[in-house]
Amino acid sequence: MKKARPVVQWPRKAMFKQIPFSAAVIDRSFTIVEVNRQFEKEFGDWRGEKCLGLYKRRGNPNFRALASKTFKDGKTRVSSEERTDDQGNVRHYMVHVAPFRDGKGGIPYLIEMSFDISDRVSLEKEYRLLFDHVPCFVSVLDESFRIVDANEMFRRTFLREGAQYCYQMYKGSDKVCSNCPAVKVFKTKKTYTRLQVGLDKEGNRTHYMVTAAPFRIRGDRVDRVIEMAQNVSDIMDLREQIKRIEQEKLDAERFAAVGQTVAGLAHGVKNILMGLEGGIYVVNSGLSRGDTELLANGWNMLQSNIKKISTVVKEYLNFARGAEIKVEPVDPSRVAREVADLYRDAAQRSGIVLAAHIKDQIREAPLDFEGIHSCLANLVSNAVDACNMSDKKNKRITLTCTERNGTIVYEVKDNGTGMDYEVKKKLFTNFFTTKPSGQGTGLGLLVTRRIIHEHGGKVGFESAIGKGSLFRIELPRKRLPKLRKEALPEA
Amino acid sequence: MPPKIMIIDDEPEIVMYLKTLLEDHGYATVSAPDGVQGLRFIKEEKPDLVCIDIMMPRKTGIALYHEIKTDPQIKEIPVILISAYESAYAFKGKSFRRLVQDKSIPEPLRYFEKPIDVKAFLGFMDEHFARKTPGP
Repeated sequence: MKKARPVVQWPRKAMFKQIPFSAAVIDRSFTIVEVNRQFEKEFGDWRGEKCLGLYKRRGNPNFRALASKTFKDGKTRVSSEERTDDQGNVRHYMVHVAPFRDGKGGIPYLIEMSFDISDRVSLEKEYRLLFDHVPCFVSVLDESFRIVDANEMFRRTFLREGAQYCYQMYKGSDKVCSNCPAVKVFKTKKTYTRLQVGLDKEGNRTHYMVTAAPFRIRGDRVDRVIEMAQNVSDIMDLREQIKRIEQEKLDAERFAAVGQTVAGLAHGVKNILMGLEGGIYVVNSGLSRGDTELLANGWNMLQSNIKKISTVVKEYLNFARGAEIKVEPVDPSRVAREVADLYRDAAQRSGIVLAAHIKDQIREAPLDFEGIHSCLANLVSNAVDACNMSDKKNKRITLTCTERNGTIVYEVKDNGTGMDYEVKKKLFTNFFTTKPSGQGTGLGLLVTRRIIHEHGGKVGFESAIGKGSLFRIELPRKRLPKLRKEALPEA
Repeated sequence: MPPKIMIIDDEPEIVMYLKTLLEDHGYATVSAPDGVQGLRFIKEEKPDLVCIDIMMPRKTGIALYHEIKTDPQIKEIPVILISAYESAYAFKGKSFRRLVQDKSIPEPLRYFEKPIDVKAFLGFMDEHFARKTPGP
């Protein structure tokens, strides 16, 4: 025997009453025939009243048109409406109008339900506000690079009439940019950042840093990309300015070096002049006194000063000829190796060990080979002299060539006599020599410093009397002179 | 007794030149090749005036000048500084104070730029010692 199906007495009316949003039933004469508890709570008991009055109060007079259509075609309709509640707050509703069928094809009633979506709407508004007020350019693009959304700042800066695509807006261009980060995002679903130069709608050049990221993924592909760009024009201007100041500083340093060298030369020339004038005076005095010894002394003075002129002029010409350095790609360690080879034997003959610590893998750099060679030769030769003047037994010179943090460093260290404070102070600033008369013109270090300055580098030293000296040439790569085109190796 | 002038210079030729020049004009001279010996000789010889070259190894003329002017025994001895360093005009103005920052040290009696102007040099000496030059 077939088991009897238990009959459930659905408390239909009670259920309708308890639906947790407001619901009303309207008949074909637009009279409200039933409302639930939530409806009553919000609007009062409108049963038996025409809905028009209510919806007018709710601020949605078009509701009747909506209802008419649903009575006619039986389709469910959705609309959003807002109204001011009793406390004066604007509330937002999502309103559904659905047909209530009698099972014979007729639609005697409509059921109207409203959901309060005020929280969601205000959240959306907040997000929109946030989006619009972000202090950078934000835009969303589809796969054809059409801008589908953009924030206030973007619209204010880039939205030009008739423009739809990002390249039109950002650059006033008619095709996708060659280094477009969005292209890569669509392809790889990863985030990319690029520095771009665009034109704002007034036609001003604008540097911006743009980051593109996936915004919406449909299936396995990205179909919306969000781009966020920051105007970095000020930073770029600043960078240009710093670059220019750096260059000016370098030029000023070079001029100062030349100036000091000229002052040094003038000092030397004045000394020679005094020697010549003195020689002439002493010769004359010897003649008038009939003192042949004095006469001979005067003559020697003249001779030695004429010899000095010859040396100074030669060195000066050397100096002047090198006034403009000629740079070419040079292996920095090769210069050091050649100088070490050049002096090793001579040093050994004086009982000095010349050691070379030269790092092999130093990248080529734009240097004046002859110039750097003569600087190192000068420092090594000074070190040999300093060792020769010392009475130590184990005399030693170390020539080092290495690279530290993008700076090529040469060092010449000796354990010779060292220098006292007065000598150190004058080392580079004057036409000065501690070598016995006739052995040095005092030009060597000036020339060295001039050449190093021309390379954008510096010469420094440490010295302690009796212990020895260390001279260091530092050549930062980023300050080195640029290679001339003809000096570049052929591609 | 002729005035005694001490010449301190590391270049023997300059010493010979100034010695001959001054002796020809009736002065007595003594000399020293550097500042270290120079300071000792000044104390021993008590010259009437000292000519010091500025650029000297071991002890510079400026350091020597500083020591003379801070030594109560010899600080009253007049000193002339000589150098190819720069013009007398520039030296008297800023350079001296840049080299000697101690304000209690007075400026030297006179500064002469190398090569010295012989006429001005002798004229200054004669005026300082207030007497007629006998001539070479």
